[in-house]
Amino acid sequence: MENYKIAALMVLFVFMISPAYAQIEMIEDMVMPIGIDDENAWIDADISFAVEIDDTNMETSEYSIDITNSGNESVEGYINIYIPFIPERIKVLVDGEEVDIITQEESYRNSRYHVNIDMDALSNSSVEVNYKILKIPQQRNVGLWALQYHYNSPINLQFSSTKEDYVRTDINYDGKIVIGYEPSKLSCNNCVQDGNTITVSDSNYFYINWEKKRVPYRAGILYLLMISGIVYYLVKMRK
Amino acid sequence: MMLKSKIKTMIRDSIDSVKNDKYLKIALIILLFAFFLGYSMRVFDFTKSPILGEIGVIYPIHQEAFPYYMGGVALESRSMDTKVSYDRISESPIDLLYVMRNNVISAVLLVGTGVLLGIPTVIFTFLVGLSAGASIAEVLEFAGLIVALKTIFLLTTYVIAVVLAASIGIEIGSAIIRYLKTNIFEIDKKIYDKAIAVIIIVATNIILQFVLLVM
Repeated sequence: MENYKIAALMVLFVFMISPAYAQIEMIEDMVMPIGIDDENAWIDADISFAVEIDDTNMETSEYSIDITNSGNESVEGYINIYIPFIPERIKVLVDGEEVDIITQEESYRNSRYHVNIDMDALSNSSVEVNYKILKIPQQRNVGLWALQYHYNSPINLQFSSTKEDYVRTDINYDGKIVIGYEPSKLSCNNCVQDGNTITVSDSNYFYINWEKKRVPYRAGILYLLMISGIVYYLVKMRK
Repeated sequence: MMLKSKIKTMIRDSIDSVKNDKYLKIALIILLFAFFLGYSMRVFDFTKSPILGEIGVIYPIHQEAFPYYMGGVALESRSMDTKVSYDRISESPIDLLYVMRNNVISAVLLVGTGVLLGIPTVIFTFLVGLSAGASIAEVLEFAGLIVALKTIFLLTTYVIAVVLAASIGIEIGSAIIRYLKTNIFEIDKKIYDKAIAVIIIVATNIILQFVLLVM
């Protein structure tokens, strides 16, 4: 009887092991291409930034990007800068020299700028992105008592080499965002808030949402006039 | 002299008939109550967008005015002029066809749905008031003075068209209810005057809205 049980268990084990092994192989197949291969190019981008948003919602952003190509191959790529609305000014310096910015999109909703960056094997490059923009609140669900604002990492890097269409790029953000007023209902991802200063450290992505309180004077005055009219009418009708 | 006195008499008669028209009063009361409710909801941020204001058919003036103050929302100084004219929901451009379609359909909707015992007419009138009230609070708050004044003026002319159209719809509905009860279909001849007035006012509104906000 015991032998039958052991035999049945062994058959079951054989049946179980084959799909489990197949799954392990599948996972290995998926994981391996992302694995570190010294032969391939590999980009590190340390992004430090300082952002100031004043009381009139004018945002001044200064980004400094140190790009390192750790691979044995030269790479070509680009920096895409995504900004809401159209900036008042935008300047990009690569290794201290101002470069041409390709405008891919410019609208009241989004602006997208493109800068080409080519790097030799085992080389460094320093990129500075400065822009000034009037921040616009979210256009949907615009509150009369508070306007919602949003900030997220605007820099997007992508590189390719002769061997690979996509070269692994590690981005690391470090910086501070200072808001010139007390933000309410602030929520942030990959960052720490201390009063009106938001700190981002050692993060590959971040976004922040907050509200700026306001008082709807114009709409309020008309509302008070309407209320006064109704009260006057009610008092008049009561007599 | 004869013509002058004739016009005077016609205007006096029209005012008297408007004063005595209970359907006009019903439509106006529904619209004003809904307007006050919509305004209250928007001014206290109970709703953060004009209620049904996204639907141009209900209240097209919101979509027409919105591009003028959209940039002003950001500045709060109301000096930015960023005009992008398109409907945010249907994404259709706000042009003459858009203005014509929304004004004509809203009037036809209010009159035509009267045949369903006037109930949809009452509901649509309420919805127009609700979205107009919610929209005007937003326009007043964020738009510049000129755009705000233009919008208030256009709202007034639109309200006249809506009240007239709604009164026709309600009158048709009540005539049908009476017919079901008494088997006699009776309708006041004033309804034809009102229908002509609706056509003239809707046509005028289309021109005014196009000239003042769209063109």
